[in-house]
Amino acid sequence: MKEGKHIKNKTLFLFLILILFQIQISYTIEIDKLLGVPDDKLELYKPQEGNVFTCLDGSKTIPYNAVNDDYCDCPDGSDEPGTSACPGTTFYCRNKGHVPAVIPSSKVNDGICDPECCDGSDENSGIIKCENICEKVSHDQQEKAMERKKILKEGLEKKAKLISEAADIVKKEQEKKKKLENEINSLNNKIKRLEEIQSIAENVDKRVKEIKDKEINKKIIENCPDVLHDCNLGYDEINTQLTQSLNKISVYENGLNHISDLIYDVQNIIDDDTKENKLEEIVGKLSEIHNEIHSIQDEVVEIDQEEIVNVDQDDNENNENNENNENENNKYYPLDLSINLDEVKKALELTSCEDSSKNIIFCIGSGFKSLFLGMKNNLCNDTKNLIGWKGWQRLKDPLNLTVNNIIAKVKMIKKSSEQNKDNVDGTNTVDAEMGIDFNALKSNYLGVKSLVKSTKNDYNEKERELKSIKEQVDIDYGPDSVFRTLYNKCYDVEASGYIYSLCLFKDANQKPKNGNSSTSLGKWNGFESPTIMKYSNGEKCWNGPQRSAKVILKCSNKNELISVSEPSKCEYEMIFYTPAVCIEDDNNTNNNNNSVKDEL
Amino acid sequence: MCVKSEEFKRCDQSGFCTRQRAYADLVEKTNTQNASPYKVIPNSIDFNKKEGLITAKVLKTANNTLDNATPLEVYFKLQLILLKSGSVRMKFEEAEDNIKTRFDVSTYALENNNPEPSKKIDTKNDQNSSTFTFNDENDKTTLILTYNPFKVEIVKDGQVVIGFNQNGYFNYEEHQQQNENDNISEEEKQRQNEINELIENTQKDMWSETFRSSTDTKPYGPESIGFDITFPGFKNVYGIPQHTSPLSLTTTRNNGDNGYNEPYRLYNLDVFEYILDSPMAIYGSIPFMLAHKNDQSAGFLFINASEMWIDVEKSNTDTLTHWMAESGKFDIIFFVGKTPKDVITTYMDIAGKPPLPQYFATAYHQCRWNYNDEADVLSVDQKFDEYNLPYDVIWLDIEHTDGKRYFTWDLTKFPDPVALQKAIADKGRKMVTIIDPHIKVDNNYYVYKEAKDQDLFVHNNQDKPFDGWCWPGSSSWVDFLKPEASKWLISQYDFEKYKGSTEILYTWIDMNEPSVFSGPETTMPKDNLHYGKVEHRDVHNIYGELYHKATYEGHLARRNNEDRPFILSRAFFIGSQRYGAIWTGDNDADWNHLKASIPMTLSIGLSGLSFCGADIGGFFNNPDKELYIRWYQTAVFQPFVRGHSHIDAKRREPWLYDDETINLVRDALYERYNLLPYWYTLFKEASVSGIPMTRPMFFEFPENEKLFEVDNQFMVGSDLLVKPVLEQGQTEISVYLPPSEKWYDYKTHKVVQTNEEGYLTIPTSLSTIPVYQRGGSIIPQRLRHRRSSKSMKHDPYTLLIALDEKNEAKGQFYVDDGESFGYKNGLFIYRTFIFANNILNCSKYRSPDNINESHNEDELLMISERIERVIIAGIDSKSIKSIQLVTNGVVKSLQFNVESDDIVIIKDPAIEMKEVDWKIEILY
Repeated sequence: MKEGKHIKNKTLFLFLILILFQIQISYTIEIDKLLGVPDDKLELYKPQEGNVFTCLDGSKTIPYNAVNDDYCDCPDGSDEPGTSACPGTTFYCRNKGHVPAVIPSSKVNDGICDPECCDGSDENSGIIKCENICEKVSHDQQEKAMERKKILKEGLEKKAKLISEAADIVKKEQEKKKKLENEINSLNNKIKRLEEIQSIAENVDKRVKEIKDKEINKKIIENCPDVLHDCNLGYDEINTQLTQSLNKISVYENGLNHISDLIYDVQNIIDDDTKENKLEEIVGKLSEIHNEIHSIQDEVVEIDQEEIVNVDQDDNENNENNENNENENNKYYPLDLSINLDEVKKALELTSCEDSSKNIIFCIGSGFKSLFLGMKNNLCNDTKNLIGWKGWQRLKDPLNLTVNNIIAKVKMIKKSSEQNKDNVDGTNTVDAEMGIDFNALKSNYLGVKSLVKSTKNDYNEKERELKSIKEQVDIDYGPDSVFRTLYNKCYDVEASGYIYSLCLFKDANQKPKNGNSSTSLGKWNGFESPTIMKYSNGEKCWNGPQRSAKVILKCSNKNELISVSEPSKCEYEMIFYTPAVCIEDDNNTNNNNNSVKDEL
Repeated sequence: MCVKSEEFKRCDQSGFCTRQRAYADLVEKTNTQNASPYKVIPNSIDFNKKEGLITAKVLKTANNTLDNATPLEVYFKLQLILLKSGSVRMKFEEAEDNIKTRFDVSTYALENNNPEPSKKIDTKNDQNSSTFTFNDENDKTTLILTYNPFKVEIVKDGQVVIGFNQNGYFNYEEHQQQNENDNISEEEKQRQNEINELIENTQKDMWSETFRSSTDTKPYGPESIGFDITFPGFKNVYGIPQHTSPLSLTTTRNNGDNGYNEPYRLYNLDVFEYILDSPMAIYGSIPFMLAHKNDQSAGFLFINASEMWIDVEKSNTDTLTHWMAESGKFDIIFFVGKTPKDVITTYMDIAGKPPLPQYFATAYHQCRWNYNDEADVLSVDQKFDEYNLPYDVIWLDIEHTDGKRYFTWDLTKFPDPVALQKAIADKGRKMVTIIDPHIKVDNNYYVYKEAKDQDLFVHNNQDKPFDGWCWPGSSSWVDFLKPEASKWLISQYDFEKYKGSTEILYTWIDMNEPSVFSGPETTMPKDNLHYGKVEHRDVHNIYGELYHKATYEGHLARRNNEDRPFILSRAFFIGSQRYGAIWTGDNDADWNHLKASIPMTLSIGLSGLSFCGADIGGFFNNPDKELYIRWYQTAVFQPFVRGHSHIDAKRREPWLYDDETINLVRDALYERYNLLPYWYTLFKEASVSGIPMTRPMFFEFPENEKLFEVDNQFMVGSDLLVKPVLEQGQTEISVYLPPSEKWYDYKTHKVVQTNEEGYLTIPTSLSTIPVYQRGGSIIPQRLRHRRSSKSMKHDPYTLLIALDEKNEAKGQFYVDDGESFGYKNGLFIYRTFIFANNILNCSKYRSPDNINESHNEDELLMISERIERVIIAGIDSKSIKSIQLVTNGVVKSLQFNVESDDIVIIKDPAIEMKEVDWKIEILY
């Protein structure tokens, strides 16, 4: 028989190999008719009557000796379960002592010992001898399976913990969110009220500031006595003026503080439920305010009496055109010598100093003379403005408003207390509810501004907090929010000279091992599937797309970033081990748990 | 996506192209085709009959078109060598040259630089010509040398087949001293304005040339060579690769809107994103042209490695070509033959034939820029097995190195290359790493240090080592003209030297045009200096081949000549086929690039370099599913089959597409693997005769004029006709099956019926690969599905017989160990199968290389396998009574299956391929 001859030739060939390698091995040359037949089909491969075999698809009946004769007779390839003769079919490795395996028939007798076929039955032609390693494989696999089982068990425990922790967090978050929303709402109302008050205070504040600025300018002049020495107005005189002006301001300020105290008192009176004769007391306080205004006026007049006399007649005329005057002179600057050299030079030209080297100080002095004259005018005007109560005009309206408000309120209180005493409390609590601290206003009326600011800060802070909570809450944390506790938890791994870091639900980054500049590989962009996370829109690649990373999640007993690769340029793939994706094995014998991490 | 054309020269930006083209125009303008300044001096003619050598002096007198102040008289030496093959070699040079010795590239480019001269020569002289008739009686070639004007014509059957200087374009710029007053007079300009412009052009950029920011100093001045080669009676010419033009060359001048406006350029260049249907130069250059008409073929070879431009002009009947080379020798060969195969064979006898490749090299290669690290490589390898996709070789591009220092590994990604290769080897597979010719300038890099210390680098025009920019940054280039440099490179492949290399590691050489990012036209300055003070301009086009050669020899040396090298190169020149495969360079994932892969590989193949292929899927960008599938279906029928992709392209291993794609790619790959026995036999044939494995249609049907310009279908060997689907969304295809033959559907073995003109229209689903088997052929196959060619080594064979009208068929089969040079000592099996009179006969095939098959049965058994199946199509199968195998008088009855009225399958004759003189008889 030709087949026999062929096999004999093979034997010879193998014999040569054996001699060459001096290895003693034994093998069988007969191809077992049942080789490669799965256990559940063994019955079908028994010789039928007349020593024939029927192809499993029933299409053909062939002599039984054509089974496993290394020639494909059946259209469905079922006559060659043990050879490679029929492309597209499979071979069954019995793997005694281990689990059976099914491999493509293309791997039968291809000269390579397939690990799936631990019994070596896939190589039976003598090209190569495959040892039966089933015992070892089985042992190893059992160990692996046990290890896997252990990991899965621990993983599932941790997962349960993750879920319960997540539930707590979610609950707390919802509460916190609600609380913040309420707080923000009330802060918002408070700000509105404060802003009304602020607009009143601002008017006062603005004017005070204007005056203060001017005083500061004067102080600067103080610092240059040498230069000013040669000016017609002496240093002392200016100093006196300054002192006077400062005194005036302090009087003004004290007065305002006193007034604010009084306003506070009025408020207290309104607020104090125990007071019987509120209106009388308020009227008393208002008259105190009135007196105070008068006393400020008197005090200021006293301070300035001499000064008023000394004011140039010209200035009286120019009162109306004060602003024009200022513009025309245009010399009223904060005297910064280094910056305003141009002005100095201009002044020098005006005085036509020829020998500047000798008379430099004189010249500068005479230059400043004209500067200072203008300045003095302004000072006088301001003072006059104060004395002439032009400044008070600005305070008048708000003050009246306040007084009117108070009166209106008191009237209302009186009226309502007559009707229904309970309602009085409700009205009274409005400001308390707003939390406006009138004590703060008392200690510094102008401090209302900083109160508005701090309230706004408070508001913004709370808004931010709410936003960040909302950001976190809105993320998809998987079933049962199992990943909730891992939000913004970061994990590093080193690969190919880079340190990769993954901050879950935030972003992924890459940094050279010996460098600082970090490159974004992408920001959280949802789950592609329950076990694949996407991070997208990272830094753009040169000549390429924006970087992105895919994170493949595998079940383990701890959270760990295992590996990073870049299969396509700028498209990264990370393997992340986590208990969060562990799934209970449906079937303990089934090795279908490919989500459980492979053994390292 | 488009090439930056402005970075590459047009003819009018090249000094010598402008000069030579202007010279030709001047000849046409002044009607001086017959007034060549070159005249043969009759009494100088000497005929050495023994060597088939005719020598003569040629005088160039005062140039009749150039108004030079001093009349010119220059003497030249002419040599004509009449070869036994009927070819003629012609050399021409200055009688005296005190300025520069012209570089002779022939010793590098040609395997057989002294082909056998003709012994049978009859001469006849008349007043103005000498006539030489040579070769044997049946196939005479006649050469006519005309004295004035100087002209050479090759005559076959009374008709001029090829002519030299018939059109008077011959213009050989002899070396000259630079003349300060080399200008034209003012009066002349006014008188002949148009002509003068041309005259000016004939003097353009003679002593230096600037292109973009680079200046070529041209210290030796003008030395270009221009001439016309005419092919009277021929309408189709082919070859002069590498271009992206159609197989049948396009006209380049005087053709209105048809054809190109630029000459074909041959100048090895790294062209980023090259364009299609263009005469622009790209990576390789072979100055070989084939002309064909239905009863005659001719060939022409210009053995010159300098930059070259070729104009092609066609009239209704003839083809005129104008060849212009910048420098180097005038050394040309005329070939004549009845058929294209005759011409190719004679050409390949001189240029050298491709060696038989390793068996694995003919299978499928998997490449990408880059497989990133060991885990990546192993995972790709594993996935191929997982999806039952066969492949043989995994490739590593430049990123595997330590900072583009070739011969090193990036150890963070490839900590243990030896173990990695072992894992690949255990699966029966191979690995290829890339080694480029630019060496990173880095004194701590041993390769650079060694080469620098031994002065092995190309020098710049100041004679100092040249420094340019390439992948690693500042780099130098090894000067392979220097014998020590080649020796040194060879030694680098020693396993001890190349750390991490093992016996399964082979080599890919890229960027060997050479590509110099900082150089003019992305290459090396022409005034760079090679060993022996040879200018780079003289050797440019062979640089890549010299590197290819040294690499090949390095692989031979590392295994003591026991293992066949496998080297893939991008640049190439005449003779590169002797050192390995080439591919068509950086193509694009575009349907037009898929289409272009056919004329490109055919063109390169007919020019000698038959082991050639295009990157599957297209290198740049991302092929969609359909293009990807169609590309595999096409490429598996081309000689070199490699999937490759750019680093910026998406990963594209088959399993990243859908199931249908995986299945269709698998089917396509198995088309290749099933036919490997046929392919290997064709590779053997190519190594013996030089005939390419894949052939233009007109190679197999030289008398069928319908096929002369067909380049969207081709033949694999003589017997398989392939018409790939090349259009997106194509639902049907029309195939032209030459009516002289009977044709069979390759898959179903059914005879196909064409219409009267020979056209067959078939529907094309995504799974359709239109392939047809010629009646009268026997094709060896291996039909088992395996993971690699090595795993098929012990698989049995199937013979696929398709009968012709006379119920006959024949075919060859060749096999050896697929690895070693044992075949040179007879370790091979070469069979002829002949089917006639209902008998299949097997006998030894006597290959023309005259090596005898070993008589050692056991030795042959190592490479022999049985025949498991014989399929006979086109046979009267119904009335077969029995089929029997007869070996040494022993008769054995065989089982058979009648598949249909005209197909029978014989089951397992179980006869070994090593057996001879057996027969299978069909009895009625």
